[in-house]
Amino acid sequence: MLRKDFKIIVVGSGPGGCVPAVLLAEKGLDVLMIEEGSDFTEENVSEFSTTEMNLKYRNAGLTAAIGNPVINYAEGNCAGGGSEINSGLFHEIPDSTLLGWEKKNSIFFNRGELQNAYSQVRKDINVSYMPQDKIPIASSLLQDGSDSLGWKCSEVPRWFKYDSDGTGQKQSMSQTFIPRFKEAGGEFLVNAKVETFQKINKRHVLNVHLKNGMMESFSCDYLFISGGAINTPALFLRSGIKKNIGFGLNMHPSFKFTALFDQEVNLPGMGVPVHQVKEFSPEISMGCSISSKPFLGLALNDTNNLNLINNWRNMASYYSMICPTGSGRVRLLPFFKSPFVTFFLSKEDKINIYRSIILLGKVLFESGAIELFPSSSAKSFSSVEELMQINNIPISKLNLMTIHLFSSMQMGGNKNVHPVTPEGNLWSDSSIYISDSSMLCDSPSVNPQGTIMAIARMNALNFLERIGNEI
Amino acid sequence: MNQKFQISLIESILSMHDMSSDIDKIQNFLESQIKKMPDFMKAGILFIGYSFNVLTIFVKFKFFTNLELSSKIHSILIFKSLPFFKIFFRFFESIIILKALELKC
Repeated sequence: MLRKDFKIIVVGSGPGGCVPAVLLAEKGLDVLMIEEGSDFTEENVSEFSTTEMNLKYRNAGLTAAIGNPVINYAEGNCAGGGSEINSGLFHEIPDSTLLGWEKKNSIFFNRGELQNAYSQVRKDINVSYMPQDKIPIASSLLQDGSDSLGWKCSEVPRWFKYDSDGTGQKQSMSQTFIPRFKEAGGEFLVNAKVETFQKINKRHVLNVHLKNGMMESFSCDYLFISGGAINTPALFLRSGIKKNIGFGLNMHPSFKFTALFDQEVNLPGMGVPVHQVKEFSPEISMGCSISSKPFLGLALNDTNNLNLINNWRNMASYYSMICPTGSGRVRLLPFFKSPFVTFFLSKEDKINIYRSIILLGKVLFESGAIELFPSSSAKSFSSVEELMQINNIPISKLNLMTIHLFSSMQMGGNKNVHPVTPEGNLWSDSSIYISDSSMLCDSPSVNPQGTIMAIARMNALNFLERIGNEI
Repeated sequence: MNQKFQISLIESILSMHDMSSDIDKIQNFLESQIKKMPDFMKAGILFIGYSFNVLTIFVKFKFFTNLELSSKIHSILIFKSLPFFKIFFRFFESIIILKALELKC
């Protein structure tokens, strides 16, 4: 029978939740980590399959931000959170982007502490490069095309462990932090959704919906909330805490091309290729995407070319991603439980979307692509000249998606605007910490997971120092 | 959304794309997707689904589920170009194609 009272409760077991949970449990503190989804560590769920979508994705992957255009997004909802479903690419935030955060949110990041945190995270999740002989052709082709155009392109390291024959195992939270957390004596409760929380007699009381349908209450002195950019603000809104919550949501909208080559570039189980074009970053990045036959089929159907699917081994999917200046919100609708997400691209973002599509097309043609099928109801393109017609397609016809969402409860120095202090706790209640992508000040312009983990680590270390002093 | 309606849609969409597959497995996947989708989206999808089933009476003088396969496909092609219905059919097509191709792999 699980106890009901803890010193610390962490809500969510994604990277932002696991980092403080492990640090605090390893210091001997009494920690409960609560996860809404199930634990599939022992089960063999194929990557990028429909089973994985059903089991590990929030709402089985059917989530969208309403705006012009609608942007589909995906979030993890299982033990390990987003780390279980993403491609495992590791980035550090560029210093120019960090400077922008500091100016925008009146905040300062100690570069030495941040670098130490990144180094520790790199060790914890074994950030490494793919063995050279395992790099997929689809990825090398992007490098070739970029080289030919004189654009910067490089392999992005991933949190993977490779054995002697080059087989990789993603070092997601279920493989790394969660076992460490349990080993350190932390309690881990899965299939448990925190519906609301409130403060009673200086303790936080969480109302938790268990798998068996029962409601249970758990209490703690300190609360770390790590439900992700959508569900962290939604939990606050459900709990009646609304000031500055859920505003400023940001994301990395992406557009995809399915590229047809005159050679085989794809194999069953190829996974995610690892090169990214960084010539135009931070505004625009480009890279390879999951290219399994079913996903290619979906993309081809957008342009009514599903009949070409038998040629899938000559095809791969590539994306262009922008770093937008627009923003969105997370709200609750009357009579509905699911959070309602909106996101509106700015005029500049829309220009960048079209620019990013043209740049991606250029590099793909340079890489040897003979035809590009856009993720839109437009026709396919077979030359750079034809590609310019993309400008005539209304933005509402482009199918955009993202897996990077952040900044819905930003850290910042102005308590009238930012809900979270530069140390990661709420301005209105210093015993509640936000430890996930919601706390990021703005777009990190790269995959956010490394930065979330590094900042979560810094904040957890500050917390340990603080409660050490308090005790 | 009842099973008969879902199966009718699956058969029609597979046939539109000259595909064949295990309809029960696709229907199970579709059912689980509908069950898990955000509640406000589910409300929209269900409303449009019921509307489509009923509105085919005005086009084909029968509920969608009671039509011949060729008439079902014709109805889908008519409604697919209309606002809201376009989103509805894109959702169904995506789910059905994704699962059907996965089953083939």
